[in-house]
Amino acid sequence: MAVKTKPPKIADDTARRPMAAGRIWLVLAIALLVGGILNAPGLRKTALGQPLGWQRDVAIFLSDRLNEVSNPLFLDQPRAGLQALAGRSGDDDVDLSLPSPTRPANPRLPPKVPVKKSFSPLAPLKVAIAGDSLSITPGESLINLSPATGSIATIGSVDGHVSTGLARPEVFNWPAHLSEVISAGGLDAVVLTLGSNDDQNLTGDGGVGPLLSPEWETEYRRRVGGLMDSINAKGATLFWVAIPPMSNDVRYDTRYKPMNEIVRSEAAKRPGKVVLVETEPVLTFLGSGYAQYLPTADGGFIQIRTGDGIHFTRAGGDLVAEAVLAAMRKTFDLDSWRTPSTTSASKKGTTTTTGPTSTTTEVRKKK
Amino acid sequence: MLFPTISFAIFFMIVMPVSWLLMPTRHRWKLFILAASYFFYGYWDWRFCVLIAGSTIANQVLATAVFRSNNERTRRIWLIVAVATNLGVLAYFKYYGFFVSNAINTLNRIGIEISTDVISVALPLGISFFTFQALSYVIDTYRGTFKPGRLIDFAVFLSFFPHIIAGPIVRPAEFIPQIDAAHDPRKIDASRAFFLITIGLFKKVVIANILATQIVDPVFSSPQQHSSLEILVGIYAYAIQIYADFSGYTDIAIGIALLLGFRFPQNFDSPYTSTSIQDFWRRWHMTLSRWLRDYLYIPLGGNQRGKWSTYRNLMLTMILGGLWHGAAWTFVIWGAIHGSFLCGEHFQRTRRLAQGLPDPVDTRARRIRSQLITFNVVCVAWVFFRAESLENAGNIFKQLLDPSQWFSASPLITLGVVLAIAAGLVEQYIPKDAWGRAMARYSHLAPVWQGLTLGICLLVINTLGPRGVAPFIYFQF
Repeated sequence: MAVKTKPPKIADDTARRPMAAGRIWLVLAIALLVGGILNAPGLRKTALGQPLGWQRDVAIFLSDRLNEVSNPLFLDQPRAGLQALAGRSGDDDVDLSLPSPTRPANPRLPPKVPVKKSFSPLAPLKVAIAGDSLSITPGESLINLSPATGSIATIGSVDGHVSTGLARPEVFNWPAHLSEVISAGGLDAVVLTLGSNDDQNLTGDGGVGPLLSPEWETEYRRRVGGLMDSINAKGATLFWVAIPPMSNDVRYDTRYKPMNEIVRSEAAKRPGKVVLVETEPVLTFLGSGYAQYLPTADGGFIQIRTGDGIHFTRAGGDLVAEAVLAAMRKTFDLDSWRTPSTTSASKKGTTTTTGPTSTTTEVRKKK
Repeated sequence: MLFPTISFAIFFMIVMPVSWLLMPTRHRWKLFILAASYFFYGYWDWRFCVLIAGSTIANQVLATAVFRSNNERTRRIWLIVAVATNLGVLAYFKYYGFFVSNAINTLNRIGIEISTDVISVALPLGISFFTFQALSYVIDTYRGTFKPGRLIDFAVFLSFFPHIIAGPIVRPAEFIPQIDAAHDPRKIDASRAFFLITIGLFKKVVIANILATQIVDPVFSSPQQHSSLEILVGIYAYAIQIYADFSGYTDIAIGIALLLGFRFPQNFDSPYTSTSIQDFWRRWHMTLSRWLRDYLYIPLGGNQRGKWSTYRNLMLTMILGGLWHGAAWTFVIWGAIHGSFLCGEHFQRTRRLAQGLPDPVDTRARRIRSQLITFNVVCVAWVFFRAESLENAGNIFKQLLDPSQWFSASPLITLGVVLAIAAGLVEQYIPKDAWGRAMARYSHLAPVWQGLTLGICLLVINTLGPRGVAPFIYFQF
């Protein structure tokens, strides 16, 4: 005879009521629907950031439907409230606008080369380091190497945002972000590494494709030039780190080299204000191409790139950081404070007549 | 495919009902779950599927050869072949770059010119975990504690998607019998599964990601740029980050498996409440600890061959455990620190026993003191585990102890960081029966309320977690 069991005691650990698979599916479906509606603005931003294709289209379609429910019923407000509490209001905003290059007052005249500014420990060169995932390790190296100069102060940590660039402003809007960063920090220079995620169709304002078509090149050039000008307009000099050689030689030769060329030519239009830091010369073994290891002074070899053939090891990061520091030394006077006669006179932004002003020497010719 | 993503949510909402619908026809279920697991694994890179398929076939052949052979010498040879093959594959992917670069360096220094046109190979995700499981399969067969089953069963065991990437490391005897056991689709321990998944998501997406981005990564990448206080908090933050990251992943894995009707062994048991290093290893990555104990420490002789042999075995096991994480001196030192403290504790215990002294009285004050000491020893070891080089670790300690940095500004120590550290610690001190009561109460709610509660949890997790999903730390191992 079956014994009728007592209802389980709630306080008991073993008193959990088991569930049927169908019910579990129902609970999960409700949870995902409720979670989806409450997080609708964030989901839309996530959907926009997906790789281009049908999956992104479907994700955008679905997140738009969720927003149509969430917004009128104010169900997006708890998320907004939580974001405000966490100090992250505006996290879900999507800004698709990208600045265009400013027109020179007289296009016929060659661009003015700014005078070489001096910096010292008392008035250091304030630098922010930003960019995609390739900016992170070299940026950390730069933060570590800068104190030895005595006249460079890196501001904060590396402002690295993986899988970002200028191609997809809905994923991350670099011009808008950098504009805020520079305004807040009163920066003198920005070290920026972008481009390795931009070999795709362009979205946002002026979005075009296919990759490297004449229309694509025109629009990418507009974005690059616009970003350069927006940084220069805030009074900061831009050090743009070129896309390094990759183990995927075909991708590097057919995509990244032309993209580096666009940046190179745009930098050349802004001498002294934008410096392209070439990476290929410091990262190759026999003059060109990808190298995973480089010879060291003591006859050994050191790994400079990680196993993915894209990112940097610490040694590789140090090499790029040293190239950036060399470019900074050519652009600014970072060392005259060490001589007694100039130390006392050294003030932030003081101009000097010593040294070359032709910062275009950084803009090397393509091999 | 990562657990905390919409892709995985969609994947699971399809796989779970189909899995239960096919469960009565077990052969179809096996084919389906195998296909689903390969899809999950191949979502990163389809070539990984070739590797795991190759590992499955090779280990099944070797285990069967071990099982069928009557000659002890032949069995032993097959076992050695299996161990060498598995460790060889693991070494190729994990240590190839390290060994090749060192070999090139050595040869070049003695005047033999070798080209540097060497490319490191990408590490397939989860290779350490499924290799350890495959080794268990063959070694247990050799020991006679497990009889190899059909190829399809072993393939499901090795590739089962909840544990394929980062464990827990499940034994064949724990999992394979579950494949053909009766599973009642009306009696699933769902409330426990929901709790594990929700807590796991919170630990990973909120606690681990906040601590990684806001303090740990900046402090460890540029220690000289930070104050002593930031370094100290950064070290504690890393201890919480790695716990929240790894235990969060295994919580989700255990919860997902439960919803499919499978039970995995526990992998973490409030490790930062440990009162000794030995206690810590009973609570931290428990499935790796017991794997190392059963397949390395005990075969080395364990504690059965005298005092010095025990110390040697403890040190070897911990150092090899460290090297399992990667070929670097930092991991060796991490293992050596744990090994040394295990030896020290063993020495104290045996001396007390030899002198006939009783165990120390377990007072609250003594326990708190032991917990504090253990936690701080573990944190010191974590510095080596996290540091990218010995020089980096040295800089961390140098900056921590530099008196000129003690009162420097510490902008990285924000309320969010402090709360995340506190949440990671407090979670481990919540009594188990409190969780049990909460799960029981939750299990009695109507499905609508259960779904609503989970939906609100998703709101909190998705809103407070930094945008984007950082890879799980243990994916790299």
